[in-house]
Amino acid sequence: MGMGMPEFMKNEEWYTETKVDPFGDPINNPGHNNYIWALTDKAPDSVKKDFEEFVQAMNSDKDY
Amino acid sequence: MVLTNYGGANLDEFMNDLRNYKAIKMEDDVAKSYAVTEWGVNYPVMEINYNNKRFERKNLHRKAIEGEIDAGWLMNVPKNQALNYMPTHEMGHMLHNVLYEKHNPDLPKTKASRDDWIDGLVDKVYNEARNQSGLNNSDLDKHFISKYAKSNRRELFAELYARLKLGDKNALTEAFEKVMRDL
Repeated sequence: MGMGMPEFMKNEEWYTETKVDPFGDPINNPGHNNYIWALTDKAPDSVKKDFEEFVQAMNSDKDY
Repeated sequence: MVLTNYGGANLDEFMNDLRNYKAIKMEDDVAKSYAVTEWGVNYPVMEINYNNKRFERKNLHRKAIEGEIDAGWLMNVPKNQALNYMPTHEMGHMLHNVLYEKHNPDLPKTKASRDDWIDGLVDKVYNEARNQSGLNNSDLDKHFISKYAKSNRRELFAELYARLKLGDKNALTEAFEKVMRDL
């Protein structure tokens, strides 16, 4: 938990959580879950930068 | 050692296990994060860099962690482990890096190769947990993992490690422990 809870997650109406399978297998059969987050239309502009920074950090070579 | 301010007996054990691999530093700022673990071709020694700005006020740090446990951002562990949480999570990152190098000496020290290997480990953990508990992946996630664990495979690994070391047992931590022991 090197990263604190991002601002965009502090309101459940501001983001969506989508479960995907990276290997094309049916969800839950077998394998594990991957999640993708996206901002909703209700997300204020003030959290958009926070969201982008968080996604960028999670996709970087560093582990937080 | 700075970490003795935050770690209990368990943390000392983790540190000893990893003593040949780590470099731990305190920096004035590590972006906006609490800490970052660095590894790969550009890092001949694995590093954990802790953010001084986040740690200099111990009570505020503890309250922040407690709040993030309540919010589900972090794994559900006892509140008295709040100060141990972040160092233990980072130890989880050290662990997957050490294990990757140990079990794949001929593979490149690249993110893609390491992530593929961690994907395989996580698959085994979920397979074991499903077989032992009868729960499906969605139920396992719903009951036992944090939002932060959903960020990517490495964070899931580190979060499972923190939960294993700081909380009571559940289907995923038992499976995680078994897979680690069987490596």
